[in-house]
Amino acid sequence: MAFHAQLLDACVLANIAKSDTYGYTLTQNLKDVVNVSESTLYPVLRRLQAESFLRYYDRAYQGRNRRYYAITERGTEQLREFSEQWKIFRDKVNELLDPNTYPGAETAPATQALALKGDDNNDQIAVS
Amino acid sequence: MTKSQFLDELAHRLRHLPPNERDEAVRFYDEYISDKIEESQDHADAAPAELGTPAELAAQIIAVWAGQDEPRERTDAHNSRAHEPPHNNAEQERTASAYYEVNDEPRAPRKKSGFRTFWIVILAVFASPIALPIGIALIAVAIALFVTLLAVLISIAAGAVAAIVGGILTLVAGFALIGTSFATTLYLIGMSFVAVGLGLILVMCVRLIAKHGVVGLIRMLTNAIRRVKK
Repeated sequence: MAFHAQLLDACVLANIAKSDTYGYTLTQNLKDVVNVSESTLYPVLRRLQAESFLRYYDRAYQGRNRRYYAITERGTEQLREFSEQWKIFRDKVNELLDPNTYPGAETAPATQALALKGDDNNDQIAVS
Repeated sequence: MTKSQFLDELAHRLRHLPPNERDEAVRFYDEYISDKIEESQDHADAAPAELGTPAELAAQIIAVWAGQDEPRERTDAHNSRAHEPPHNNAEQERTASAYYEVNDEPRAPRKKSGFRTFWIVILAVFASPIALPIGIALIAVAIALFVTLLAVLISIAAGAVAAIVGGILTLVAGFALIGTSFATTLYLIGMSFVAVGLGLILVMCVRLIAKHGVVGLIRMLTNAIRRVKK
C-alpha cells in the first residue's frame, strides 16, 4: 500500500520529537503505525535531515556506534504544520463518513467504525 | 547473505554517489542490521529479509538522493530562518565530550554537482531495457535536426554574402563605365543597391532563424525527453 509521503514524514518527525531515537527502534515504532517496508525509512530520514528538520549525533554502544536522530526547531515547526493539516483533513473525512448523513448507515456497525475518532486532547505534540 | 556481504554489495551499488552519501547509507544499515541481529533469537549473521536485496535498497536510496534538487515549498517564515545559527541544547554542550561526533548544524539543502546528477540519472534511465533504444533514437534525431538547421543557415548566409559582394562589385563596375554610358552607370548603381538590400535582408533572416531555430529545437527536445520519462 503506497503511503502518502507527507504523512510518513509527519510520523517520522513526530516519533523523533517525542524522544531522540536511532534507526532500528524508529523503524519498529513506525511499523506499528504505518505499513512501510524497512527499506523506505532511511531515504526518508536522509531527506528530512537534508532539509534541516532533523539532526543526528553518535553515541557509543557496546563497542560500536549508534546514531541518534533528534528534531530541530525547523522540524518542530514543520511538524506543527503537518499536525494542523492532518486535523483539517481528518475532520473533513469524518464529516464525509458520518453515519448519520446517509441512509441505512446506522444499521450497519461496520460503517460506524469507519468514522475516525478525533480526540483533540492528544493532538498537541508536546513541544518543549 | 551475511551482513558484510549485504553491506559490501550495497556499497558497490552506491559507488556513483558522493562518498559521504554512500558511507552514511552503509553506516545506517550496518547499525540497523546489527541491532536486528541482536534482537533476533539466534543472533545469526544474516541480513534481514525485510530489507530486500541490496540492489533494490540502493535503487531507492539513489532515487531519493537524485530527487533532492527540489526542496519542499516553504513559507517565507521558514526561509528567513535558513541563516540562523544552530540552537545548541545547553545540556548537550556540557556533555558533548561523551559523544564521538556532534552534528548540531542543520545542513542546508545541498547543491549537487550538475554533471554527477546528470550522469546518475542517465545511468538510471538507460538501465531500463526500453529506454536505451529510445534514448539512442532521440539523440540521432536531435543531431539530424541540428545539422539540418546549420545547413539551412549556412546556405542562406552564403546567399547573403554573394548578394552583398555582387552588389558592391556592380557598384564599382557602374562607376567605371561612367565615361562610356551614363545610363548604364545609373542602371548598375540601382541594381547594386537592390543586391545589397537583398543581401542585408538575408542577413536578418539568418539571425532570426538562428535565434528562434535553436531555441525552438531545444524546447522541442526537452518536451520529448519529458514525455519519454513519463
